[in-house]
Amino acid sequence: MRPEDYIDPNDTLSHALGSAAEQMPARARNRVRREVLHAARADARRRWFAGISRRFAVGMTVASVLGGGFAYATETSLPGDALYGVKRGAEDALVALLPPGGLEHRVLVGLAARRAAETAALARRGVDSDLVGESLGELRAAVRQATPADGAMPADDMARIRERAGDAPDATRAAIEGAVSGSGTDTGTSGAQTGPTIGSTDSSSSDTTQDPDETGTDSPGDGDGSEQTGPGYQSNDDAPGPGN
Amino acid sequence: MTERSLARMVRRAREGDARAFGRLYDEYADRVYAFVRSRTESPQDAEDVTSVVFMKAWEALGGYDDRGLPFTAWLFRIARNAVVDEYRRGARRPIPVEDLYVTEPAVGGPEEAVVAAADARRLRAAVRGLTDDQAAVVALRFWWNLSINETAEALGKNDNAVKALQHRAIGSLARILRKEGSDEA
Repeated sequence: MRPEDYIDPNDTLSHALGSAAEQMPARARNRVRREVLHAARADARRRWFAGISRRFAVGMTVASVLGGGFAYATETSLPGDALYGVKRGAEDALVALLPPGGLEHRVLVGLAARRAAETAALARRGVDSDLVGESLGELRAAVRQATPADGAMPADDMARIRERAGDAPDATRAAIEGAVSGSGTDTGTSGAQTGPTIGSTDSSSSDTTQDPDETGTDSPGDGDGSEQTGPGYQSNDDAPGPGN
Repeated sequence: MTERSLARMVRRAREGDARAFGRLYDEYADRVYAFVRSRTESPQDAEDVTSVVFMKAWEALGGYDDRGLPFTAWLFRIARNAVVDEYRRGARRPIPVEDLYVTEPAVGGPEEAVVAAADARRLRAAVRGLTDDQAAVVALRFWWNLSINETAEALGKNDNAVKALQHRAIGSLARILRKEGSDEA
């Protein structure tokens, strides 16, 4: 028997059993400690970077929605573009994280302004009228979401959203005005009331209604049409960010 | 480590502080190893399982809520599950003593028999022959120094069940040690 294993026969049961606990050899103890802490540190670093990336992404989205002037390809993509889903996903994630209150309202108004800018940009790009109509429907939904519970959108918020559609073709701009003021027909996702004909859905703007073929293509003479080379080309100019 | 500093280390480790987790390892490594060693065939197996226990603890700490199970009990459950996983992995499981020794000791009380073994190595070998529940109670009561109530919490049993398990564990140890003694004689 090793001396360290000796138990005094007069000892208590607790002490006798306690001394039966097998000690972890010091070398093994240190080795396992190194292994475990190495893995823990690596995992902690990974988590830290993941957290930073997430905070950075949310920060960038907030900044771009509120007018930080960041113009990334993702932020400036339009419905139908490859990155548009990413952009909307980031927005949804951001909205889910925001606490109720002033910042949330400002972000929601900013997102509605984005939808207005997207609708205007699509109309100027001369895309399929269905796509413009869908975008108009998204605008209406965003306006509804940004409208406070008492049902009244502050005038300066409405102005901020309208401002983003200032460079839209006349008929589209009128439809956007109607969507923002709530006077437009809430059927924006219907292809029957899209793009060039959207003005007709707004009785208050019937005087601006144009022929579908005329408004469905880019407005001649505004300079943008001749420069468009692809879906993403004018995205910087049409960037939905308020800074643009 | 005091209860307060333990709570602080757990909180910091939960937030991703590897150094704080190192302190927890220092505090618990021996206890975890002692229990795991009593349920595994070799020291190497016990070292591997101990490593797994702490890796799993680190991974699970993010979801640990100190308003629920105390940290010590929580860690023991991880250790116990790791041992069960080791069994499933194909390692040879210790054969419970109740399958080997069914006769009652002839003379003397079981507690006296355990103390009279007078050899920690013999006692360790005897603990390996206990059932899983009995070995868990011995580990928690005598190696982790938990109270009956804390042991019950760690095992998800009530106090009376733990007392009964401890009583049976001591009886089983006495039987093993006496059997060994009579074999040697």
